Amino acid sequence: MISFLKKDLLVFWRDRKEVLISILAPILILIVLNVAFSGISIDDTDELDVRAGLVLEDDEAAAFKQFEETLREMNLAEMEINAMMDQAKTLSPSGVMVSFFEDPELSSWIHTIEMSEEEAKKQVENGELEAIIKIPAGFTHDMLSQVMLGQPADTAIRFQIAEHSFETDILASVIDHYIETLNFQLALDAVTKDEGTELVLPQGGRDVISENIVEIELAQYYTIAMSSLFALFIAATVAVKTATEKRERVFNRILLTNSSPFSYLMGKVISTFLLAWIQLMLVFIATDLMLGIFPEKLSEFWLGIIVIVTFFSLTIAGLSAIFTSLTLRMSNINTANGLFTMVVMVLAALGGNFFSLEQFPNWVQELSQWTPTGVAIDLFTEFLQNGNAISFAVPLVKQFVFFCGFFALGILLFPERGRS
Amino acid sequence: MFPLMKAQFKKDIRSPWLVILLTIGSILFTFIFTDLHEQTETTVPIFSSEPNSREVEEKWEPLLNANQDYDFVITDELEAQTDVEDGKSEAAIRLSESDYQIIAASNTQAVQLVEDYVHSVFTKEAQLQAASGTGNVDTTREKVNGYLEEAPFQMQTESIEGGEVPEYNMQLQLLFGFTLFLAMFTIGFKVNAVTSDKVSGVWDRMILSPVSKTGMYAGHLFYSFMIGFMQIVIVLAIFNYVMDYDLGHNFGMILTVAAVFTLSMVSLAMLFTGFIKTPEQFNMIFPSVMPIVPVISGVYMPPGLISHPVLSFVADLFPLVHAIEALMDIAIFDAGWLEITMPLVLMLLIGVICMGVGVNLIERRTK
Repeated sequence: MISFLKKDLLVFWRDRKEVLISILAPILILIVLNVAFSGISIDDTDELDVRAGLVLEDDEAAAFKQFEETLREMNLAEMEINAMMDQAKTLSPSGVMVSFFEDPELSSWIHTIEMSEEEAKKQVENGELEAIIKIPAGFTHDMLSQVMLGQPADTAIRFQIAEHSFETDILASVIDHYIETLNFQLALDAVTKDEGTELVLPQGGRDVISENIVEIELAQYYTIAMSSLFALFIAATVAVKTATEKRERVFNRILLTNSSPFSYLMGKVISTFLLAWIQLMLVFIATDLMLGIFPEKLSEFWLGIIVIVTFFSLTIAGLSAIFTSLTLRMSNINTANGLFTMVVMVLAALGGNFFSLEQFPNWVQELSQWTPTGVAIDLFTEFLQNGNAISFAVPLVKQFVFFCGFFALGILLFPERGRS
Repeated sequence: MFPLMKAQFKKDIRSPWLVILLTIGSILFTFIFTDLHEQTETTVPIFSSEPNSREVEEKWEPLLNANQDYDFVITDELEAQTDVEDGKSEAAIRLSESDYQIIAASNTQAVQLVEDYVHSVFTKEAQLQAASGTGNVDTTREKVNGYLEEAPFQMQTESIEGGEVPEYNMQLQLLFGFTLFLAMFTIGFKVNAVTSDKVSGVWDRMILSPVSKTGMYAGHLFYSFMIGFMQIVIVLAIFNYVMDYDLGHNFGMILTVAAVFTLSMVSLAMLFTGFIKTPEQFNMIFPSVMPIVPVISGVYMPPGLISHPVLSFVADLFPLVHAIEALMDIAIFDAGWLEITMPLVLMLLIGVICMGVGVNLIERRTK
C-alpha cells in the first residue's frame, strides 16, 4: 500500500505544473468573483452607482403662468385664484420629482445629471448612462389641472432605457415606489373631507431570537462553493490520470503482482485525500490573506474549518476510488472523462455549488442534503453563522458514510484480472 | 483529411457514449435549472396573540397578500415560532389591531425586505384609518383605490427611440449558456484526440503516410467541429421544436452563431493542446479552466452585474461571451445580420489567433 501511495505521489510530482494549475484555479476564480461582486451588494448602496440623465422639457414658471390664466378663464374670484396658485406652488409636480433626485441619501448612489435630450441619448448609447428620466413638456400644467381641477390628463414621466439591467430595474423600482407614495398622499387628500382623526403610525419592531447569528456574506458562500466544486474536479482528475498507467501497461503489470484492489485504490484514495486537503486549505488561507474573507476569526474557527475540510476531503477521496475503477473498466478515456464531468456537474448543481438553492422546490433542497458538496456547504454556512453552537455529528457522519460507501463501490467495480 | 475523419467517426460509433452523455446532459441540465429556477413566493407565517386573534388575522391576511413576492399564511403561534427557530421561514409576524412585530431568527437582508413591506402596508392602513376619521375605513379605501386608478403621477418605461423595451429573458440566457458550456467540454475532449494520437504513436505513422500535415490537422479539427456543432444543434433544436421554447424567429441565424462559436472553441482547445504533452494533462487543465469562463462572462447572472473592466477584458478573450451576446440579440431583440457582425467577427478573430498559436506550439514541440 505504501509503495502504491509513493507511486501516486510521484506521478503528481512529475506533473507538478498541471497539479499546480488545478490547485490554483479555484483561488483565481475566487479573486475574480470577489472583484466582480465587490460592486454589487444590495445592503451597501453606497457602493452601487447608477447614473441617469434627467431631461427637463417642462418649464415650471411658464406652466404656473399658464395655469393662472386657465383659472382666470374660469371666472373665479381673485382670492380663490391666489389660494389655488399657492396650493399649486406647494404641489409643484416637477419640483417634487427633481428634489427627489437631489435628496442627499439617494444621490449618493443614484447620480442624476440634468442635460439635453440629445446629449442624454448619446450617453445612453455609449453606455455612460443607464437611463434617461424625462419630464415631458406640459407636465406641470397637466398635473395641476388633473389634481386641482379634476381634468384627467395622461402625461407620464418617461423612463427611457436601452435595455433592462440590474441597475435600471433598481432605479425603476425606486422611482415607482416614490410615485406610489405621492399618489397615495394625493388620493388621501382628495378623499378626506376634514373629518380625519389623528394619525397613529404602527410601531413595528423586531424580535430576533438569536442575536449572534451573522449573515453569511456572498464572498464566503462562494469560497466554500467554488473550493468544493474544484475538489470534486480533483477526484475526476486523479482518476483520469490512471489512464496513463493503463496505456503504458503499468496497470497490467500491477495486476500480475497479485496486489489487492484495496491497496491499489488506497494509494489513489490517500493521494487524492492529500491533494484535496491541501487545495481546500490553501484556498481558505489564500483567500483570507488576500481578500480578507474571514475577518476576525479565532483559532477555534480555523479548527472547525480543518475538521470540515478533512471530512470533505475524505468524501472526495472515496469518489476518486469509484472514478478510478471506472477509468480502468472503460475503454475510452474521453468517454470516462465526459462521464465524470457530467457526474461532477450534477453533484455540484444539486449541492448548490453554482447558485444557492433557496429558490428551488423543497425536494431539490432535500436531495441536496444527500450530496457530498451539499452537506459540506450546509455545514460550513451553519458553522459560519452560529459558530460552535451547532452539532457537527450528523454531517460528519454523513460524510464518513459517503466515503465508506464510495470506497466499497470502488472496490466492487475494480476490474478483475484478465483481458478486459 | 477524409480518411482521418472517418477513423475518428468509427471510433465514436464504437463508443458513442461521450457525445450522447453530454448531449442528454445539457438538455437535462438546462431543463432542470431553467424550469425549476423560477422565483417562488416566500411564505411568511402570521398569527395574533390578541384575544380576538381570529378577527385580527382575518383583517390583515388579505391586506398583506396584495402582492406577488410574499405569501402570508395564518399559522398557529407555536408553529410559527418553531418554523422560525428551525430556519424553515425567515420571519414570522405577530399581528395586533394596528401594529405588528417581526419575529426573526437573525438580522438578515431578507428579514429587512419583509419588514419594509409589512411596514408600508401597516402605514398605509393607518393613514386610511386617520383619513376616514369616524367613518368606515372600507369606504375610504374604496374611494382611494378609485382615485388611484387614475393616479396623477405616472411613469412609463420605454426605449430611447420611444418603443417598447423587450423584457430580458434570464431563462433563455441560461439555456444558451449551459448548452454552449457543455459543448465546450465535448469540443475539448474531441480536440484532445490529437494528443491521444501522438502518445499512442498513430500520429507518427500518419506522418509517414501520404496524408499531409494540413490534412491531419484539418481532419481532426473538422471532425471536432462537426461533433461539437451537432451537439449544439440537437440541443437547440429540441428546445426550439420539441419543448417549445421561444428562441426567436430566426433559427438559421442562431445556428450560424453556434457554428462560428464552435469554430473558435475548436481553436481555443487547440491552443490548450499546444501547452501540454499528454492527453491526461489536457484533462487536468481544460476542465479546471473552463468552469471559470461562464462565470466571468456573466452567463449565470443578469446582464450588467459584471462591469469590472479587467474582468470584462478577460471574458472578451473567450468566445462564450460574444456567442451569448449574439444569441440573445437574435432571440430577444430580433437583431439582424448587421447587429451581430461584431460578435461574429470577434469570435472568428479569437479562432484565427488561437489556432495559429496553438498549431505553432504543437509543431515546435514535435521538433
